[in-house]
Amino acid sequence: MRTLPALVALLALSAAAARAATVDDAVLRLLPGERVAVRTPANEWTTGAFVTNRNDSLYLRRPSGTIALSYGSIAGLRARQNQRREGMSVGMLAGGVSLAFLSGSNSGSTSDAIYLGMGGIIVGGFVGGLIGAATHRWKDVYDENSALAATTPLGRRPSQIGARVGYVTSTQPSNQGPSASLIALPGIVGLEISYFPLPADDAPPPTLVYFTSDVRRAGGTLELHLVTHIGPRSGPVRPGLRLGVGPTIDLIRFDRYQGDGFGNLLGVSRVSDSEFRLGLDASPGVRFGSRAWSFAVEGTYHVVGGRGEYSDFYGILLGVSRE
Amino acid sequence: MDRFRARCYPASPMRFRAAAALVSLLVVTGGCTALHRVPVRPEITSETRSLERPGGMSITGYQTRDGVFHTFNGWVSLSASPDTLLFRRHRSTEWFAEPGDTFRLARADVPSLLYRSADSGKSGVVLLGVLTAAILALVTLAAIAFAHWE
Repeated sequence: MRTLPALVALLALSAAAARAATVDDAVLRLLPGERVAVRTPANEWTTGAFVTNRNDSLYLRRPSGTIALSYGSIAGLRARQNQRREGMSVGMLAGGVSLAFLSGSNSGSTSDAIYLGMGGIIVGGFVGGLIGAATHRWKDVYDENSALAATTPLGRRPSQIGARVGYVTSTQPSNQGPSASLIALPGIVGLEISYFPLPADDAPPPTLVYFTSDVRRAGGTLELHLVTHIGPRSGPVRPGLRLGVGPTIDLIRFDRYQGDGFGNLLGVSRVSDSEFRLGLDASPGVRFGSRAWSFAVEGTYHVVGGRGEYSDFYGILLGVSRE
Repeated sequence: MDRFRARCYPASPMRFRAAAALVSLLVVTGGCTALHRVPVRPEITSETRSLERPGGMSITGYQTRDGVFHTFNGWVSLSASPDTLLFRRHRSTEWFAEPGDTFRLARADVPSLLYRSADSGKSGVVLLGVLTAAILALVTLAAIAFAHWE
C-alpha cells in the first residue's frame, strides 16, 4: 500500500502536459532530428524531422528534401514522443493489482498477495516501460486556438484528490459502521482506497460456552478500486457520479470462544484471514464550492461478488476534494 | 600508512558490499539523461535562472542566429554585462585554458541552449529492469533448489 502514493504521483506527473504560448517558444524547444508534424491554417498536416529554425522559419527534412515553413503558416505543431512513463505507470498498476488479486484469490493469504503484488508492480512496470518506450504518440506542443484561449482564463480539466468519511449499512443489521476513503483522480481514471465494516455475525458474544467451536466473525473490508468521475468540473455546485471497479479484500477476524464443557468461558483465541473478491461501486453526489477545496456529499452503493446474502451495502459519505 | 589503514578499515565487508551495490545502482540509474533545449529570452526565466549563478549552466550545445547547432560541453553564464553570455569549456581551469576554451557571445545571437538532465522515466525503467532481473534470478535459483531438494 505504501507504493500507492508514489504510483498516484507518477500518474499525476505523466498526465501533466504543457503547451507553448507562442510558435516561437514551441519551435525553440524542438530538438534536432525530432519528428514533428505541422498543421497549416488550411488544416493540412506536414511531417518531417526538425532540422533547425532561423529568420522566423522552421526547417523540416522530408524524403523529398528540406522544406522551410514560416511561423505565420503554422497553426499547430506536434512532436512525437514515446510513452515510457505512461507505460510504466499502467504496467505497475496492472501488474500489481492483477497479481495481488490472483494470488489472493488462489491462496487467500494477505501476505502472499502483498509479496506477489510488489513483484507484479516491479515486473509490470518494467514490461510496461519497455512497451511504452517502443510506442509513440503525437503530443501537441503548440496550437493556435489554445494559444488564443490561453489569454482568456477558461476552466480546465483539473486533477482531483479527495477524502471521505461516512456511515454504511445494509439489509443485514450487522453490516453497518463507519467508513473512510481516499480518492486520487489525476485524469479520467484514478484510484480509490476505501475501508468499510465487514458483515459480522448477528449473534452477540456468548456468555455460556460449552464447546470450543463457538465462533464469532468480525473485521473490515478494504477496497482498491479504479474509479472514474462523470460530471461537470467547474461551477459552484457540481453534481456528479463516481464509478469504481476492482479488488475487494475482506479482512476477517474469527474470535473462537473456548469453554470448559460446563458452560464456563476459559478464553478467546483470535484467528485472522482474508478473502479476495471483485467489487463494484457507484457514488452519486454533489460538490459545493468554486475554490480549490470543495465540500462533498455523496451517497454510495457497493456490490461485492461471492458474499452471498451480504453482497451489497450502501451509505452516505461526507468529505472534501481539492481540484 | 598505518594511520591511513586505521582510518579506512572500520567499514565492515557487509556494509561495504551494501554500499557498493547501492552506488552501482545509483550509477546505473542516475546515468540516464535526456537532451533538452531551452530558449534564451531577453529576460531570465525559471529555466535559465542558473545563468545568473557564478558557476553558470552546464550545457552540451548552443544554437546561433544562423540556425546552426554547435556542440559545446561546458558552462555558460551571464558575463559582467547582462547582454553577453560567457562560454567556458569543461576542460578549462583557472590556470589552464587553450585558445577558444572561453569566449563570449551576445545574448541576442544565441536563440537556444542544449543541455542534459536526468530522465526519471528512463532511470525508472532501468531500475525496474535491474529489480526484475534480480527477482527472476531468485525465482530460478529457488526453482532449481526446490527441484534438487525433491
